[in-house]
Amino acid sequence: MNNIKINTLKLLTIILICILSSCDTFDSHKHLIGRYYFNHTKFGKCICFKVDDNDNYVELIDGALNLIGYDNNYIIVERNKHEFFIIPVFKGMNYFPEKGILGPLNSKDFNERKRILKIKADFSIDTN
Amino acid sequence: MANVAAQMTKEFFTGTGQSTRIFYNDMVAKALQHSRGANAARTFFYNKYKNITDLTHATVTHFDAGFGIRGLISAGLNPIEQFAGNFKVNMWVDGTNLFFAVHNITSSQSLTYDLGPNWERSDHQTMGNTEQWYIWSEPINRPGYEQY
Repeated sequence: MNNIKINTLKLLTIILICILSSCDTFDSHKHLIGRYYFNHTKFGKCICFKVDDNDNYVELIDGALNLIGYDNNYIIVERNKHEFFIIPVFKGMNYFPEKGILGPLNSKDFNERKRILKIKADFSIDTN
Repeated sequence: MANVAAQMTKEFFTGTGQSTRIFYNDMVAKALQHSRGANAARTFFYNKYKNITDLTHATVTHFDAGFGIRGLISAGLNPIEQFAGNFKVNMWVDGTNLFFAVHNITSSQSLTYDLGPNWERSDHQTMGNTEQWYIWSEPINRPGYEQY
């Protein structure tokens, strides 16, 4: 009887472990443009670059993201009212997708860079 | 290793034990060495630097290894791989070895498919966030680069 109880406990534990890990199967990935995604996982929110067809990514910007926008050439991110990022969009596979990312910028610098780079994107996605 | 995974699971639900665990070059850490996520990170690292001879300063950071249904199946009966699910990987080179640092977070938010809240243990012990680091090293193995 004790062995049955112990084995039942072990089985329940394994099932619990599988439940805990299976939750990762339902992480959300919102496609932005090209290989760029807004992901929301147990680690929090991030702008990520997809590196293969097996749901593997490189994180570019993480943290409590607020607003996102994009056009064909840039992704813009508001982390909060004082921190903004500009991410250049690489069209194909790139092993250094973090190159060229600007930020964190304050609001004034962000708007100036947006003007200089002729970024057409507006903040169209509210991640909250 | 099943005991370790079971212990970490119990500690998560009961809010006991260490909130941060580090496994360094032991059997638990190396249980992830050939996981789907670690293999993907390794492939990415070697492809990233395939045209670079000197890997001294080579790194991969914030590699977000997916899990999904395929990961669930691939992990099979590996309790550490099942427990970790998806994880983040950082990699760097030291001498002739490639180091992996895998970071996993266990939280109630992930338990509720990211719909629920999560909290630190300092706020509420039971089911408060816990984290693990699994760190191991392996010889650099790049075909065509025999000096490594």
